Amino acid sequence: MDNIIKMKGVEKIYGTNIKTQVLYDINLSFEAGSFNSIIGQSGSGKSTLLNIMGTLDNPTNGEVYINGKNTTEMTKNQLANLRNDMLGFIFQFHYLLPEFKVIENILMPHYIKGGQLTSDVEKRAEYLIDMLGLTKVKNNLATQLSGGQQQRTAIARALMNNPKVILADEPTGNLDSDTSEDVYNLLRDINKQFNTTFVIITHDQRIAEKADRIIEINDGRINMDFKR
Amino acid sequence: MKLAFKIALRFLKSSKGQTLLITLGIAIGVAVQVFIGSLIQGLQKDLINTTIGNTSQITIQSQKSDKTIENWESIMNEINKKDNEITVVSPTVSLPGFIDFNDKTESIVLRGFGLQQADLIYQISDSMIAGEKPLKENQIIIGKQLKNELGVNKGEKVNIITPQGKAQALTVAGFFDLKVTNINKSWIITNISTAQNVFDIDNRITALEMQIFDVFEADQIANEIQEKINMKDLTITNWKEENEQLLSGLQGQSVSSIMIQVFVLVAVVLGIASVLAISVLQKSRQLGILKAMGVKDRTASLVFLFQGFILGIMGGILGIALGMLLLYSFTVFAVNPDGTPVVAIYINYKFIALSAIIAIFSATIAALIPAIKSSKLSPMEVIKNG
Repeated sequence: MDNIIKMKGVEKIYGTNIKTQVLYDINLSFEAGSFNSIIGQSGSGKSTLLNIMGTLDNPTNGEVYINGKNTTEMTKNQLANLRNDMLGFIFQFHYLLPEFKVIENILMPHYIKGGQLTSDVEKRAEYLIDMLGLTKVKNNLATQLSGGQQQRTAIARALMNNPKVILADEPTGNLDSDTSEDVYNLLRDINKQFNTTFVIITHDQRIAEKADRIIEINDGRINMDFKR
Repeated sequence: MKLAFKIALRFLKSSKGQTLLITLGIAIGVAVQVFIGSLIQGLQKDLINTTIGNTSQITIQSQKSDKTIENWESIMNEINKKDNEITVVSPTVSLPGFIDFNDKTESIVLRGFGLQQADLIYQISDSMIAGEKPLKENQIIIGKQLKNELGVNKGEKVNIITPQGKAQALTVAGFFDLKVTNINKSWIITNISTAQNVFDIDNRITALEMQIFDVFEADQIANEIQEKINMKDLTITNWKEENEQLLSGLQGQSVSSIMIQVFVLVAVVLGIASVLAISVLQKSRQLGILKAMGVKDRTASLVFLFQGFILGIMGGILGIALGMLLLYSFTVFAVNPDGTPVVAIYINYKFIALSAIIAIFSATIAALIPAIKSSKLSPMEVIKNG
């Protein structure tokens, strides 16, 4: 299968005077449609790795290819388009826009793309709302939701533009274990249904074990890469 | 564009208190501008009106020793061709002499007017306090003060004596009050032919007096007239030359009014800029995630420019309303004993529209710093710091 994400010799060094190297020569690829988890201790560099993968952060050395294109050579605007089109982000904090309703938050990636609100688009939004169990609260402001609802809204938003890749950084870090379980089952369903590639950072051993592939990062290096 | 506007609107709506505060700040700035500007303009109009409203604004006089102009009719024709700039041209005979009544003698100026035209300049009809205008031959009217000094009554005859020693008896047809003691004491108004008779100057006059539409163009129009007519033995003067002190006073007033307006504007701009700059910090989470989702830097900065623009429009409208209210209450509460406003307010729509446009423009400019800040914000800053 094709590699949707490919990292070649990625290194990250923070600071100019006092340099701290966070990532050392990472070479890593992810197959399209795979469900991957990254584990590792706090400060191991896994979040940095995910942010570089998502073009939110620049690697100090090395290259990142998404869908075969070298992102390190792209302009900021091209990267913005790429993120909007190809990538969906789910963070530990939901980062919903509190000024907007749930349905507007979910539609936001579509609006950013410059799209109009057609009936097809509305149908997709409604479908996602339904799938994530948000029907009752879809017209609430983002602040008027429970933690689980907020995180599910963030997931719906990440899925809105039907991205090829979802990057998730501890998406259930703020949720209780039952809700976490639900969210993971949901992500797994989406993975199967839309063939979306998932890269998920998690602390939760049980959840990591459900992934097709587990990568452990330790002190900025790949410590273990286990494929099922 | 559309998305940036939508987000800007939503940001403003979600922090209503802040929005209201900035809007009010802009509104008060605009209101002060509209109020002070209109007040000063009204004051100046008033002042100019009282100073030169009832005088000749451009005057053509003779330089000959007998002070007379011969070919005045052709000059008048020439001037009348420019009638879109000039409101009145009034030929006048104006020569010094003495009045003699009951053994009392006073020095006077005999002024012969074409009464119809002169009325437009001096408002003689409105200034009559008794009797009628001197339309008939050998009739005159005299001022309030002179009447009291001489003790003359309507219908009585007075002697007018020219510097050459010629005396002529004229009938007093009425009395005027032009509200200036000097004039009321010295002017004797009659028709043109009577004056020409008294001084034996045939059909000659001594001056052409003019009023114009735009009083501030007096010097320019005077120049144009000078170029057009044969100025042999003639001089042309305008009120601007003769009232330099008034003009510099008015200019000083205008400058200080503009200064006040500029500083109010600067204060408003700084206020908006600082509040919006803080709001970038408040909204940095939203901006970060929007950028992560693919919002371009340009759009992110537009969000703040639009906020400034919207605030400018709201503040501008509210400010004009507030300014008008201030002006209205000023005309109602600051009044003379007779009920007329102390300063007649002059509403200049162009000026008010300009104030609003300046407000919108400066609010948008004030949003520039926050807009640049917003454009530079990296999504990583937000995501890393939670």
